[in-house]
Amino acid sequence: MLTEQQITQFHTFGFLILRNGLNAKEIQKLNVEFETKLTRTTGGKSKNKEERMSWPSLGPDTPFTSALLESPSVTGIVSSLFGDDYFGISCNASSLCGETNWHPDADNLHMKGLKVLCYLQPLNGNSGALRVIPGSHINALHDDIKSVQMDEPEHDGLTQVALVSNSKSGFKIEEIPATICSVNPGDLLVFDFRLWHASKGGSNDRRMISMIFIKNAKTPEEEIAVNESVLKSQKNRAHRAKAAFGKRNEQVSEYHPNWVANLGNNPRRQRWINWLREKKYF
Amino acid sequence: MIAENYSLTGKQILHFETFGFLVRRNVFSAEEVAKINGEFDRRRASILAEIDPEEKRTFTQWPTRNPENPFTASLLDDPRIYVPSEQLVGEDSIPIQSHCNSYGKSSGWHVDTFDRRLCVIKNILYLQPTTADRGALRVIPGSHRSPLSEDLRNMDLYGFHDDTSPFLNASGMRGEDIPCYIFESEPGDVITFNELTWHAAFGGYKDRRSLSYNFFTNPKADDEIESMKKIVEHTPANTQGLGTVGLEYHPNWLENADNNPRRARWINWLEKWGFTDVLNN
Repeated sequence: MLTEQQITQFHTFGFLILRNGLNAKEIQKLNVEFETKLTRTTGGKSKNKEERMSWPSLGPDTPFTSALLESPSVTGIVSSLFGDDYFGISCNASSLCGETNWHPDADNLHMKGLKVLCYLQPLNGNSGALRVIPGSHINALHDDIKSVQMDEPEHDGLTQVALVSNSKSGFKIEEIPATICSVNPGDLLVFDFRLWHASKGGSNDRRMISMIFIKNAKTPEEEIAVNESVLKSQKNRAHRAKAAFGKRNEQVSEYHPNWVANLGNNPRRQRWINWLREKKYF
Repeated sequence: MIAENYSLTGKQILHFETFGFLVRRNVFSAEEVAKINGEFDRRRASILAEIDPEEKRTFTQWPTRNPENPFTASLLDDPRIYVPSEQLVGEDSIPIQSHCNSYGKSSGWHVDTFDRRLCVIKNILYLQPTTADRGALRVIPGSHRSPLSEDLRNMDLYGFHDDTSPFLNASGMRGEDIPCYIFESEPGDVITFNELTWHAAFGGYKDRRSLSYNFFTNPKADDEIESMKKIVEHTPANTQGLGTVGLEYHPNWLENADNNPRRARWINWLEKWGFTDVLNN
């Protein structure tokens, strides 16, 4: 559970770093599963990986990673911020590559969702740590940033959800004032979907586990925002799965049949599954 | 011609408006900074000998507009300072205070004003290199705007010293843990910020030096005029609280021997609003 001050910090700045949220043993387990899975990707097989590789981790071949989505060390954070009325949407692993342009994950400010990230290597400002603009999950700052011209490299068209114009005379990623979230393996980084973030520098195999949670919509505006988010995530996943595994569909199913079967009759998971089915995530 | 050379670009102005501050690198040369530091050494030594021989004060501040530090005094008339300031606050803006600052410790999270009716900016030139753990100014980007500005106030972050911030005390966090942009700098760099922007500096040490030049919007609307009247009223108490040493406007500066028209305008304005009375008495 988070303290009152941590909750205030999250709502004010749009993110939170929780040091040593996972222990060394847990990180080791994540690394073993990550390594096995990475070697099966097109990038993992290549000597010079130049693309982001990303894959779903809710299957039986990555049991420890899969369980993270429902582990108390993660759900305790989400419950503190959203109460109990939320849904666990995904648990993905990514081997990141290159830089990521400034973007929020949601541009609709009615969207109430968060990501929990766990990086498997130490990262700082020079090695690809996440950069965030504190407070940019709310207006006026969120929308003001759209008017700032960014001198950006070509992007994949997926991370870029806001109307930020590209310009050679614009700001470079590192010129935008931000907090650099330096982390060590085991630290958990929690951020609001609407927060502007980016990364710069680092190796071509920066390893990250990301979990997505969405708060149940309470108003028609929130419902619209959630539906927009569903569509975007479907597009993202199809694109990334294809990049990581080519045409081999067996590797790319976001929700493995075993996870959906919910053999342990976990009521919380069942509630999530019902909602995911209703929203046509499957 | 010179003025054009020191003009801010549209990109810089947008940065200032969006994030509440702007960094300009290498605005002053190493020779100029050495000259300023030489004047700073002499003036500080004479002030300490006079008012604080045992150096017990944690903050000593004196106005720049003084013939004992002629080069430092001249910077107010330098286009590198006034041109960008006028672009940001208005061509008829006024530098009410300009100070040499010798800090003795860190500064916790604070704003210089909560009054958003008048735009006030501060240009700061640090005279020593600054790093995250040695006195670098930290700013929270965009915190000059609502609702972030009020959210930070409501969470009880404010505290010029860390131990006076209720939020930090309750959370067990340090001021350094608050997310922000850190202005690591070399002498000669200048940061300009809206005084509504939340800022702090940690890793303070004895005689941490800076020059500061603030520019105020010339008030025109009723609420701006009302706001300026309050500033005039509270200025003596605020200045006394900061322990500023010496006259803000030295007679030599007020004399304006070179008949500088910009300075003449400033002086007329300062006299009209009563600042020459409240800050020189």
